[in-house]
Amino acid sequence: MSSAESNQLVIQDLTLLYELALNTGKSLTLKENCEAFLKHLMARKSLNYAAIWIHPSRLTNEGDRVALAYANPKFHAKEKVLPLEHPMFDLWEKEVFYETVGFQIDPDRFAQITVERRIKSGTFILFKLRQWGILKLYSSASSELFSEGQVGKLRSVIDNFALSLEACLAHDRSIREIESRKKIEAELRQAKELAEAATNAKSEFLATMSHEIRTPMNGVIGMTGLLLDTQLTAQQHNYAEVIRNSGEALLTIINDILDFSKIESGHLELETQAFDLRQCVEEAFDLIVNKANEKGLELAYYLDSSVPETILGDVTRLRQVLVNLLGNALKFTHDGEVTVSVSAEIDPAESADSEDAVYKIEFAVKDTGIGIPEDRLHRLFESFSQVDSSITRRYGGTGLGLAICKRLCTMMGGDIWVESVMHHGSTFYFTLTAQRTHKLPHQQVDIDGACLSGKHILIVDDNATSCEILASQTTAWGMVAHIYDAPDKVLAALTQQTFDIAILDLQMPEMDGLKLAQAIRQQPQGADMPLIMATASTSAATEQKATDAGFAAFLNKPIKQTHLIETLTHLISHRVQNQPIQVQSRRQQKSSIDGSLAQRHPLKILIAEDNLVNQQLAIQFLQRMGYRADVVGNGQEALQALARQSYDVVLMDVQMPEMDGLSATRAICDRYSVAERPYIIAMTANAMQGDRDRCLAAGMNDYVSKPIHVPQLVDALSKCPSQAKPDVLETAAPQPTESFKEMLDPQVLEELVQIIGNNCAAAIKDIVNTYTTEGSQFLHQILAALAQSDLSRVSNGARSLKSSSHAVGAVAVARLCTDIEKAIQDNNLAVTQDLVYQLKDYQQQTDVVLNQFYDALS
Amino acid sequence: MYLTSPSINGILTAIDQLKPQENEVVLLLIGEAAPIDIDQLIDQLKITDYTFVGGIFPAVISAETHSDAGVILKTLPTATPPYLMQDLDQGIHLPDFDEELALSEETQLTALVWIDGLTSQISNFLAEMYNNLGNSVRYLGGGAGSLSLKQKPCIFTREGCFQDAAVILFSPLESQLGVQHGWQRLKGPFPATQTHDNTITELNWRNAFEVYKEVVEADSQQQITSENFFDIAKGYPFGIFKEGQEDIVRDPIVVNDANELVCVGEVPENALLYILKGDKHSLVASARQAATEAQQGVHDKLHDFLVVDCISRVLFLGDQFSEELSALREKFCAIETALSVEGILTLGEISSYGEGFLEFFNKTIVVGALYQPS
Repeated sequence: MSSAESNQLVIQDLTLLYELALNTGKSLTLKENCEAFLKHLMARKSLNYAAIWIHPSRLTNEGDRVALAYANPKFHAKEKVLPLEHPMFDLWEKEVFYETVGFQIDPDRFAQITVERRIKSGTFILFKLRQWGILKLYSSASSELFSEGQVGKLRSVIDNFALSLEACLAHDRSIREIESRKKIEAELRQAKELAEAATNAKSEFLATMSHEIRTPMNGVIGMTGLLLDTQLTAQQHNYAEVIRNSGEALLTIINDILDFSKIESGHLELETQAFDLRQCVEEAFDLIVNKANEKGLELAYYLDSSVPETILGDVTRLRQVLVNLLGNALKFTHDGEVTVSVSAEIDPAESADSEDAVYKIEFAVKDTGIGIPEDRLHRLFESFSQVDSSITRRYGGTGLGLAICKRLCTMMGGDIWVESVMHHGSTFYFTLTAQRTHKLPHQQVDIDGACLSGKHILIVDDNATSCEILASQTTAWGMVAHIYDAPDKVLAALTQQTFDIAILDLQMPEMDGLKLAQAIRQQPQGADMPLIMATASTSAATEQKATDAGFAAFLNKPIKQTHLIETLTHLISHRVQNQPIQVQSRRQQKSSIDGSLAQRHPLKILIAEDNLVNQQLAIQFLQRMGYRADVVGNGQEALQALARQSYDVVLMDVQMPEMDGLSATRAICDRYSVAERPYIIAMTANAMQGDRDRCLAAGMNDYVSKPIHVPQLVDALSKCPSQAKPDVLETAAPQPTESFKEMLDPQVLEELVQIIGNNCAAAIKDIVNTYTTEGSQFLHQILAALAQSDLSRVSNGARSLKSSSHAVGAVAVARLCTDIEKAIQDNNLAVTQDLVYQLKDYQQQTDVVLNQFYDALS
Repeated sequence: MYLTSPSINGILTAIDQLKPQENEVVLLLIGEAAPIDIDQLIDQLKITDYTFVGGIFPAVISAETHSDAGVILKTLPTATPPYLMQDLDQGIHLPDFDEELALSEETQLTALVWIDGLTSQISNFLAEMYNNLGNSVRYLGGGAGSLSLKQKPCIFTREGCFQDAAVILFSPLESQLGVQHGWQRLKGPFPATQTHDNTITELNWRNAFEVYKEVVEADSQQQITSENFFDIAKGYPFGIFKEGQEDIVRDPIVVNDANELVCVGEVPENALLYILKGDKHSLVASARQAATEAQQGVHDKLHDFLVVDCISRVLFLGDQFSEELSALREKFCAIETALSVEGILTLGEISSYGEGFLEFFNKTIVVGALYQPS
């Protein structure tokens, strides 16, 4: 070889290496990278075929076979995957970097590694791409493709090429991962959008349908209410009551659906205002306390000291969640208790000293009810889902309540979940995130509980939860609490120790609170110890007996903290000062709802309010006062309702769709004379003086702010003139419009039964007959005296009737008689007249329930 | 058959004389100055039952002459109906050629490829074609179009006449190819450090025109400018280095405003380039060599010769181009006196080197001997 030829060969080798080196790693895409590198190699060496095979460990697709990643020209490529054991991949097991296989030199090996079509002779060269790949080159020529020297020089270039391919494979894997994730995300997004669109469509449909149903339902309920006020036989009255109750039940369901669809379609916005958290919990209890009493369930609640007094949030929605969970707890609990405990944690990033620190507040609503099977727990918070269909049949409900609660909790920055043990009860937890804020004006007056410090308090209750809550509250004020669950232990303890004050539960097995009090009074240490009675419900007669037994105060269960501290400080401080202790009646307790207001001051009430929760709240508050209210959703509907029937009072929301409260009021003032038009009370969240003036200017008579506070509502209602005067000369059929318990004190009757013993039915019949006859005479006497405006005789008659009534436990009549006496004392003829008219109804109703009681006995 | 002054009627009459068979296609190779309305010709041809394909080229060759106004007519047996591919500038979408691949299992096919020589995707087109067919067929063809380098419709079939198009004809005739150019290395190698398709921006990390200018001016003793570039550059093409073969010629035709060199055909980035120089003797000798290669192994069933020669060789050789044709004729006559030398002068030539890679050449002569399979 001449030196010129030799030089030419060196240049050839160098330039090949140069070209290949510059064309290595030109792209992160495997195909482009291979193409850039192999195009040059193939062109320079006039190769017919080049291929890259890749070990499964470097591939993204599943499988254990070696795959053909690149082939040029592709028409030669026949097999696309090969088993790891294929002879071509023996190279991975060898230490050498390459293998040349010529057809002419080793036809067997040539045949072994030929997996391409149209290749029958020529030369292959296989290069090892690290331990995971093979670069296969082919030339139809039989001559050697590379000399040994050339391969030596090529090695580093091919190694670099392998490295660049590895980068491509890694890139490919990450791209696939990203694409796969993107695809999944896109699918999820699409599914979500579809679901949301479907949900929105469903919500829109439900909202429209519900509205369409609600309008005629309002008519049905309103007219049934009107029907109930006419003369009906007992049977007709029953039918009408069923219509009314069914209508209201249906309306509740529709309202739930409306509320749910409003939340689902994203139209619900939470309000942010300062409110008293304790008051919110107490008001929720106020709404369900009657139901709990009817079922004989204990109610209690406890707010941990960590809970801020005042927070910023939507009090209405929080109360909605609480009432819903409490309602469920009551519904599914047949005996035992329902408790609420509240605790709070400050956001770790916040300072506890900060006035506006953010808290996570946790509520636990615990019952001792039937419990929920574990496999149904996860479905509870889904819409239209109850534990099972038999539950729906037995307990009713739409299955929307918890779904609404869940969404509200989420909106309030929290969550909701449940823990439950079958036959032992359930605890529903929910949280919300809220900012602490300054105390409200009514919270500013703190009661000085300093006098309680170090005082020993005796707490007797068979319900452990009630005891614990009372103990923790009193301990927090520095008192030393002594808990007993049985009277005999108390009496034993009294011989050992002196207590400053005692709270006794009325209803306890073995010995009730009254008897225990009497026993305590027998002991020297208990002779002048102030006693407080804790009770879920009591009658005037029991109250009287309690007073006689030496109780100084009454506390309604669930015991409100403010009442408790007020009562304790009052009793302890007076005792310290050796002053006589005045008995605190339970009816004197602040903010408990007066259940007899409707009896004393009957009103036909229409609520015009678009917010369903506020509607429900107003209805429930009014029901607790004894009122049956009709509801409409806007001003236009209010006008329609007024055209159908007359109302004494309209509770008018100011901001409503279609026709707002101000426009509706103006329209009412235009249509009706002053004598005809109802008393209109504005209900508005706007608390500015200007709003009040605007309401009054539009023709409204009064104004209550939202959220509704019971005392304010009672005040406003008390000012309404009642037009619902029954015609006294008509003899209306006796109607059991009040529940048995409200008309009669069962304890008195039971005592009667116990006293009489055998043959009690006949004796009771005599007593009932006597009371009925005598009562009728007294009533006529009162009515005749009233007609002659002889108030003295009216008062005498009332006193006589009261006495008889007390004897048979006719508490409602007795109470009304007391009220009549008081009105006469006040020389208030108008009120006396109203009360006497009511007395006639009450008397008749009492006769009915007394006869029912007798029927049950016999 | 060569027609010196063709008319539509003359062409139709000549085709009739060729008596095309049912399995044959009529190949019309037309000089760009031929006084023929192509659309009318197509309309007339459509009236007949003949299958036809054709192209308009800078010139046609017959015997020792070449003409930009003449027409060459041939009939060739076809294995499958011809393929017309349009809108190549929009993307390359080739069929899988399953039928041809199946046929090529039994016999060697020859693919005749005529393509618009001024379309932008020739390299991709050929790469994709080779990817699908590999060396299962032999390739012979070239770029149609006008020497003015203005793109216009130049590929036609029964469907019409199109630019940015190609036609592929698979013939069951076997072929032997000779590919030569005769250009010699003057200077190099220079790495083409920055290129884009057919434009060279940098050579050896320097401005491409500067490098080229230095070498060419030193050799030619002429100052090279953008104005006289074409005239001088036709004698100094680039050669892409290829082991064991002649370099693949790339013909620089324009220096653009950015001092980049625009070539006929793609120059891969980082390819090693030589600047070549030719002389008339070496070019004529290369033609003779190509003819010799094409004759190797050809037996007595020779059907035809087809010459695809680059128009730029005519420009370079000038009057002496006839010597190149004489050299070809001399070789052909040694085998088959009845056959005349016929072919085309093209804008780029298409062939594989024997069984190797499919290439697009410049300034090259490709001679194909077509014969019946034995």
